[in-house]
Amino acid sequence: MYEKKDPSLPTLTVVTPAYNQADFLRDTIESVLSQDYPNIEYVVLDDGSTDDTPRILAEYGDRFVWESQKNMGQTPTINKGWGQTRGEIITWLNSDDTFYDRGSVSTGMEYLTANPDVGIVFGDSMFTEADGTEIEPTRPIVDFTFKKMVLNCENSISQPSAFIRREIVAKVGDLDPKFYYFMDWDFWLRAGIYYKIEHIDAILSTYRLHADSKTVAQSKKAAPELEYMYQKYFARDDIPAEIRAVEKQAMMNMCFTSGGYYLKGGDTVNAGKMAAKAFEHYPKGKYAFANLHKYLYCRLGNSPIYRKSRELVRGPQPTY
Amino acid sequence: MPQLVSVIIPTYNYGRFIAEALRSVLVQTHPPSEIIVIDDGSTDDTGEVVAPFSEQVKYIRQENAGVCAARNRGVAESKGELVAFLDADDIWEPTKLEKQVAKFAADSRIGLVHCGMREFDDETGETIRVHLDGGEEGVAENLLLWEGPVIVGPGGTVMVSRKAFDEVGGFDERMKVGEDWDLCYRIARRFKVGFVAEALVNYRSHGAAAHHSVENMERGMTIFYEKAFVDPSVSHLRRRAYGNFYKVMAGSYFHARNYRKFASHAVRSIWLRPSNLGYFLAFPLRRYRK
Repeated sequence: MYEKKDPSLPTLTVVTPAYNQADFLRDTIESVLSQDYPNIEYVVLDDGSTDDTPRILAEYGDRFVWESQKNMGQTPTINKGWGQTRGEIITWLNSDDTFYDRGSVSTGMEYLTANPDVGIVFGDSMFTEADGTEIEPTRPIVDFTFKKMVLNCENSISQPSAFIRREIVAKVGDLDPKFYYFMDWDFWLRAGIYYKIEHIDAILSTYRLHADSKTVAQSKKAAPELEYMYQKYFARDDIPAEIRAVEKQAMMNMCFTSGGYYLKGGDTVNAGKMAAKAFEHYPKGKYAFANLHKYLYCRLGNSPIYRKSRELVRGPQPTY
Repeated sequence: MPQLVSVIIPTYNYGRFIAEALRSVLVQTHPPSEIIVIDDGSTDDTGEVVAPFSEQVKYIRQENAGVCAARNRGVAESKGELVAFLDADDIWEPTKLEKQVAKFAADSRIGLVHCGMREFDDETGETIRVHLDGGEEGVAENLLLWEGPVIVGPGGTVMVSRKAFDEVGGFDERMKVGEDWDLCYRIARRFKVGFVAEALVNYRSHGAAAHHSVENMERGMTIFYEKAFVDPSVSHLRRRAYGNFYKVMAGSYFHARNYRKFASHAVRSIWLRPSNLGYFLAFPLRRYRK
């Protein structure tokens, strides 16, 4: 059982689900152990790794709690970690991500302490190469609102930079193991029904882009999950009125986002289908230029003509 | 308002899945009045897996007789006014029964309610597809014509009223494939159909899932059509129905790399429905784009 070092402050529980990412695991662990915040309950769950992971964890001895288990998948592992810990604030840090600097946790925890009405606070993230070289920060977030996030169908919350009040889990449930790519996004959507989510303008974590990064490598397979997430969400009966009011537009944007995923994965047929579905959800959407642009992108985005004309307008696009 | 729901779970050698299916029934927000597992002569550990549930689940074992016979037996052993079918490798969402019961309660002419379905990969848990394109109006005609919205995943999503099930005489035990399509058609001809546009069933996609050859499917559907067109009131739809059916079959044969049957079905399809010509002319292009 974790004992607070400073009883006047809340405890942060950090769970790291580790599965065959021994190359990055040390960075993750060190970034947690080096935090200047006093009360951090750290748990690493080795989800049946077959690489060096158990040996690395053993090196750390009892500096944090760790355990090797039979493989059960990322989402159930995080839920298990949350279940066996006690911190008033919780988060998880995947074994290829790190906190950004020594003060990252303090920044988040101070914000939640000062703003008792806020349920989740999040900062920005720094994309890095596999070797840790910084690339660029996540897209700047201007005036974050939950409604905008749902409406635009963008997951603007950088997961490793988010700090979550534990009571939210009791209210809206754990991470849903049915989600393979978007378990965090789905959780934000549910949490936002009952709790305030706010953004701080500070980089709090790094997000490593590497060959095995789930969302980078497999965007096409994430498309149906996105559709499932949104339909499931709007089938709820506890959606706040201001979100319900934009349901049709949100579904339209979901179709565009998911069409974009298909397109990135090279599936032009399904990208086109999603584009058509978008305007079925919200026919009036056709009259906005931005939507027509998204529509054309889903329909033609992979064609050489589209790419060429975009290059002419915007200059060459980065490839990662 | 009809409240009593019987859940029928036919199973054959799905011991590794059935506990999860049963748990998804036991947490329903509208609890069923009874849960009946018909073990169709499994040779695996199904019996032992179901044993711990014996307080809530009625377990009936029969000699292997096929899924239709198992479902019919289940209905015969049950008492609820509403009957919901669950395949032992699928998983329900907790509100599945509640939302379907509400549909029945809203309109007494409804004989069948289906719902959306999420198809997931058994190994990784990834969502493969979400099926929400189910129909309420004109479902019978759509089933006959293979056009427009029909019944989503007929085997695993439907709840029927006992009245409707009995009136049409249950599943046709001669059929090995398409028996659910056939039952839905016969009910939809006489009763209203309700649809809950929400993925309330999680359909497990795995190697062992009833994998039928195209030939078997054709045989099953041929029985379906033979029976359907006994009724003269639909005979005007015959050419269109067969034309579309052969079109689908041609596509399946192509997929199965049986190019000879693909060609013969394509010709028959165009003969019966010349407007399908466009579909077949564009066929190579569509293949190429995929």
